[in-house]
Amino acid sequence: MSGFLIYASIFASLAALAYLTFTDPKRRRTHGQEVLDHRPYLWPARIALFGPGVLLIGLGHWSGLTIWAVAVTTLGWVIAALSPATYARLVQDIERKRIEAWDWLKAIAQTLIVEPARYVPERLKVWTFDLPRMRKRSPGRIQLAEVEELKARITALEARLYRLENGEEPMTALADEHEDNELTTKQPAKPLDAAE
Amino acid sequence: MSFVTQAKTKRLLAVHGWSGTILGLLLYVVIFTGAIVVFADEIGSWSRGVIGHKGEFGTQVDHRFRVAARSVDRNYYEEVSIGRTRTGDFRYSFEGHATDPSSGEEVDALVRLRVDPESGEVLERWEGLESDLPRDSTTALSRFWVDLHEELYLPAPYGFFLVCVLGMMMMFAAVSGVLIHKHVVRDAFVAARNPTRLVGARDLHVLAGTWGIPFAILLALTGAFLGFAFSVGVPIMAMISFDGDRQAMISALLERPEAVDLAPAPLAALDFVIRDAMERTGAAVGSIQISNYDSVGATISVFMGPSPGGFAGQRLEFDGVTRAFEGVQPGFGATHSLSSTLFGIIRPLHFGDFAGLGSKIVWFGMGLAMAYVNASGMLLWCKRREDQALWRGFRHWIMVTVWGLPFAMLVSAVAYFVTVPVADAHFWTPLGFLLGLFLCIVLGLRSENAGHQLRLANTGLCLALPVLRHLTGGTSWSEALISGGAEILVIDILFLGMGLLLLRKSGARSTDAEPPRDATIQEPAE
Repeated sequence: MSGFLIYASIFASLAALAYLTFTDPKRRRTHGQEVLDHRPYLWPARIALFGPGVLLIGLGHWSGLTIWAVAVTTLGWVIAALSPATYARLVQDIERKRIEAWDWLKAIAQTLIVEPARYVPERLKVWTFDLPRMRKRSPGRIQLAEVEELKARITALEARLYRLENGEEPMTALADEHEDNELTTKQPAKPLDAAE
Repeated sequence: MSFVTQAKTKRLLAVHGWSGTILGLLLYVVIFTGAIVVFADEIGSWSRGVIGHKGEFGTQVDHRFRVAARSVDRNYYEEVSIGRTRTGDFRYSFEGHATDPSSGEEVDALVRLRVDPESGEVLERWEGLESDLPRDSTTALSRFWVDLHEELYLPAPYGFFLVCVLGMMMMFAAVSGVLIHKHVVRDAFVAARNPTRLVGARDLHVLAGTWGIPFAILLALTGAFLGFAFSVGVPIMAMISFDGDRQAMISALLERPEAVDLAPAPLAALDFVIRDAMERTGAAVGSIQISNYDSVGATISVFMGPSPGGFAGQRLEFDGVTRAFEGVQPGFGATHSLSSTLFGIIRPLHFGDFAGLGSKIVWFGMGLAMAYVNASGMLLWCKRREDQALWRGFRHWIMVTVWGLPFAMLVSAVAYFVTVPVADAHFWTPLGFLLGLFLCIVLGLRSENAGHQLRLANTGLCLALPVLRHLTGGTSWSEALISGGAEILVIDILFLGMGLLLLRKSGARSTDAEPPRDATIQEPAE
């Protein structure tokens, strides 16, 4: 509880200090920033800045008061010492890092979660249902790669059939190709002896 | 601050600047080493490779202590202290008097036992004159860095005295800085405009100084007090009031004045006393001191750590036979007073160890900020006079000191790790520091870019030190984690992190390289 009180006090005062820093008219003028279009809320900020110290005095938490005072002045210096240009660069850097981190996380999720989620059930289905069924029907040993190749060819042919039926692909092309295929398939096989 | 006229401001600025210039480099050494030795205990554990004892003092002390005490001659029962070592063992010190064979005078002598906390077995026994007490070689590094801060490793009492003067000078610089700078509050949020120009350098120094004023005064005041109290105050008081007899003065200030009955009587149960003290204060027991052990006049003093929210520990006194509570004793003097209260809080306020690691981290940060104020002030002074060769040379030596001090400290750490398994590290660690200093001076004389080169050297040493510690038999990370010695891990990681940070900075730019002469832009700093 004691530690939490001190951390909360430091955090509240630093937040107020950051507000006072960013709204300080001299700082804005010196660094060529626009003048604020409203008066900064100085008193609430000052109360938030010094209030935790008063609270710690009221509680008689002298060590906490000292830690609070030293931490606020040391970190307050760090807050005030960074120029607006540095802050702008920091914000840009953080935004860039955030986007990079998000892309990285998405890539990780794609690799570790999305792809396996699509791939694993498919493979399980093949291993548990398709492959045993095919083995039962076909004599000899059926390799998994062959099954995959067959499935891919069927999928491609089905897709092509769909396109042909819907007129997305001209039938002539199919006919030419069919003829080519026929010619190819009708070529008499050269006996091995003749080739030699 | 309008009561300071322009003429006075000019004079103050001259004194502020010249005092800082003359003693600034030494002050930088004191401040920087002070920031580091805030973690003296942790550095001690890290360098020794022993796991720090963080457990309670325990309430099972009595039996083991009595068994061990039976092995010690009654002549050493005058003052007995019970404490715990950093390794978690109990340490019993029995103090008495013995005749010095060389001088024939009666001097302090002691028997010291190190006892296993579980079995009560005596692990180590040492007996002899207090002046002959062997130094533990494994404490050499932390001890040397503390000495460097307290005395600049100069002979006593000159080192103490010089450090006190530096503390006073720091206090003066802080106060005069406020008086010189008329818009302290208004400029508290104005970041440096262009740090490479004069006005920017001034902004950097003023801003850091403004935020650090209260604690610069606090640290300087408490440090100067502690130093002067022991190097000047105590001898003068002893000379004036006790004819130079310091022991008599200490007895008058810290011990009870009434005569003590030394008739034999059994000591009250220590475990009950410890429990009672813990219930009264809500704090942990630091150590126990028993005066006139095993006699009717025995008293038990229990030194407690700071209670939650408090600064200083308390000293609770109990009757040694009846274990009746006799009150909280003042830290200084025979009765409670404002001075005894102030004396009690000065030490924790300077050392920053009143609330564990949290307060130490804050004190460390503040110490580094003060070192920055000091260095930036000296650089500003030189930048104003950059057209003169003398000040350009001084700027060069400021950079050598700024980067050379950590370099020499790191070299001393290397010397410690290399020599501690085979030789007296109390001799080799300071020698390593001197070697580091010598290298800095040679580099400073030979190279115009010595600051940058020293920074690169620091990078290498920071990265190498954890490896060297491990190679020379230091505790491994896994051992440290299993045994709860997080400080070993944290300090290693801090060194590696600092090395990587310096590596990145060194790769990015070399800011401390000597600027070309024609690049200097003279402009008024408001």
